Amino acid sequence: MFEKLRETARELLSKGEVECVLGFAEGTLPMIYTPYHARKPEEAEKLVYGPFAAPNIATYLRKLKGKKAAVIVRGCESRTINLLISEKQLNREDVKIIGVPCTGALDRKRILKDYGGEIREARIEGEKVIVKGDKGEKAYVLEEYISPSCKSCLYPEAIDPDIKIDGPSRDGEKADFSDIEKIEKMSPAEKWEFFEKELSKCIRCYACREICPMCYCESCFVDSNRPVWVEPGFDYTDILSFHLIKMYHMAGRCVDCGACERACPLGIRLSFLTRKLTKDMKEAYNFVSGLSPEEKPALGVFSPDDREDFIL
Amino acid sequence: MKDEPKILAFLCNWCSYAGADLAGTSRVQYPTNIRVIRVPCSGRVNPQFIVKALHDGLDGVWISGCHIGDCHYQTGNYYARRRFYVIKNLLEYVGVEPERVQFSWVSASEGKKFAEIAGVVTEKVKKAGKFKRLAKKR
Amino acid sequence: MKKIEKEKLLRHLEEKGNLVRLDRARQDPLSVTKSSHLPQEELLLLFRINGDKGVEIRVPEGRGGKILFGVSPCEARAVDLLDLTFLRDRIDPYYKRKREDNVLFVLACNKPRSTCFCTSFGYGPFSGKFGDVFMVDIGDNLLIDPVTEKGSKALEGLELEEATPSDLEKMESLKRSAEGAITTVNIEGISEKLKKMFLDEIWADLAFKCVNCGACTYVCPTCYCFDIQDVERTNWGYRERVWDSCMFPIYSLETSGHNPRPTGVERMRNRIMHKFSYYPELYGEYGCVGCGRCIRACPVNFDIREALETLKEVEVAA
Repeated sequence: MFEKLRETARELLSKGEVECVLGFAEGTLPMIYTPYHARKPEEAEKLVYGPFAAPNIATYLRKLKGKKAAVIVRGCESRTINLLISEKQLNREDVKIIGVPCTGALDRKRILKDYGGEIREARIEGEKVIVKGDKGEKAYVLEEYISPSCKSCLYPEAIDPDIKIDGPSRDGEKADFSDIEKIEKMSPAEKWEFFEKELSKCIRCYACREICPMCYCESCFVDSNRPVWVEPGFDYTDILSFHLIKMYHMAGRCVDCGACERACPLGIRLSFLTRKLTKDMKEAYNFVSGLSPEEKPALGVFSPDDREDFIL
Repeated sequence: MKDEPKILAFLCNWCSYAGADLAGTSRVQYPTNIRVIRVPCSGRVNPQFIVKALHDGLDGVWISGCHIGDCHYQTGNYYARRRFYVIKNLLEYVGVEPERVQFSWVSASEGKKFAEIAGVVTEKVKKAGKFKRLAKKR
Repeated sequence: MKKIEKEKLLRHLEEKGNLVRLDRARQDPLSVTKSSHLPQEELLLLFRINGDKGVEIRVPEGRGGKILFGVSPCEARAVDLLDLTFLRDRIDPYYKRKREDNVLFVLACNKPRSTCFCTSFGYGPFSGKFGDVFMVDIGDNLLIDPVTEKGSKALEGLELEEATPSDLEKMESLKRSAEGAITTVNIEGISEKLKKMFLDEIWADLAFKCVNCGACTYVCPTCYCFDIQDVERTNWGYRERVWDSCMFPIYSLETSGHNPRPTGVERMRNRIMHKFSYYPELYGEYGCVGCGRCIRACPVNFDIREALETLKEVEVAA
């Protein structure tokens, strides 16, 4: 199934067009692909793509600065690359973009929970994930276990790739924000309770920050101790402060790839926040991040007639 | 006095702060709940300040700058407007009462308006009550 | 070994004090046993300026007093390793109080996970020498054996039956199947080898996929790094101890601005070196218990077992 991709990668590497091909390889646990960069033509054999790839691969481009790399991307990852270019973090000439089809990334933790036992093997068969473990073999419909962010994805396919690998992709027309709207309709007290329940699990390991391709700052506001923007504790007030400011920094820069949510070891639904941002930016400024490398970040521009119904 | 809400106001140097000054020199009364921090421009107000203020125990935050088109630095308040929209929405979304965070445009000549809006902000924050949720307890 | 009905034992413990059940759900990803001794956030002292009386300082008692029921052998072993840091050369009073108060009821692991590799470290899922009381769930009953005096005291007043040969046989068979389900990583000689590998190029390769979040270190039952911070308010404040992680850039950042571990490569190297080289050198024990938590929590599938295999294969000049 990955022949076309591997062939492309092999060719790029053997012709010396790129120094490495960045993508995913099989991992050591079921339902996980691990970030991988093939540097020799024979290493192209290891490259894979599909729902088991949880992180946003564009994060790894910062580790390859100064190198000519090809990168295997889905829609969200290609939009991230556009953002990185527009924020001057990446030169378009340095990357060769290989677009692959995307049927959404798997919400692995939900399958682990629903299975209830130890899963030892997993594979994808058509539209199903087949898992095997100490509770026997079970099949899960992929679409039902896809990340919430992927469910509201409008651009599953890579934008302007240099090379395109064909295959079945998601339908990008069905963006659905009904769960976000449901939260918006709650009373402040209900909202508070809802998010306290969700976010207080946070242990501030910053997996969400580190996995995020747009969190590339050399020093982060949480690490500042003069002044202390966010106090170091694990109290909910500290946790919420961190997430609020982090999310604010993501406004108009988040492509809602869902990598932060999938990275969270505690399984916090960060998409409740990222998808709210996506929805707000679209509604207020008709802005969708990362559609073109020339586009300016939404909070870096303005329009004289921006909405101000919230101003006294 | 203990039950009176405390409101932190970030006022831009060129308009709203001068407006507050005018209110004072014209002897127009406004509520004493307001604590003022002078900033060069409403665009100087990082939304981080708002979160930090609420976390440190303030009950409300009010940010005021020059009217749109009047910014001393030409465009500062245009950028600020977008930022405030985002942070206000986020705060409301996680359960902070919408009354607590307020924005306004007040010019240097609007001493009376300044006092009026100070009243409105205070009323709104009073309605929401003391804010203990985001303040860290020990 | 003795035996007892599980419900009877639980009723007895419930009356004794603050019972924390760890046997019902898999304790994942965080080790409750670790955080019961070294909380994520721990208040060290409170201070308040009290008019002309000067500064008042209050030090909280911070007692433990938990009965941890169903601690896995790996977690209990991890606490023994924490002792080396907090109780051996210098005594940490906050840790010591909790360590003295908490009682650890260790439950043998009947169903190891696919990520377990505890047998690599000279013990296994049925090792009965950790914690205060060792228990084996043989289905209808618990086989039980106090390990420490504290453990015997916790069982006082309970009528325990003598375990029958068939009970012991059941235990042996459970033990065999559990041990058989675990993949052992051969780490012989790794600590000596690592000493020669500080400047090896392999670290850059190993660290490539790592994004340097703190997930592995926070879920690790033996990682104990912390930070002490003062939080100030107008006329009061407090000093607290919070978890910290060697994976973060500011962990090793010095006041001068110099950072001896400037990139993820050095930080990754430190994490592995600490567990597999520095710990053995200092204490004669590995700093890893093979519980596999870091493998399960890692967002990018950095597998410590795989890393150890890679490190073993690297050729180093003598």
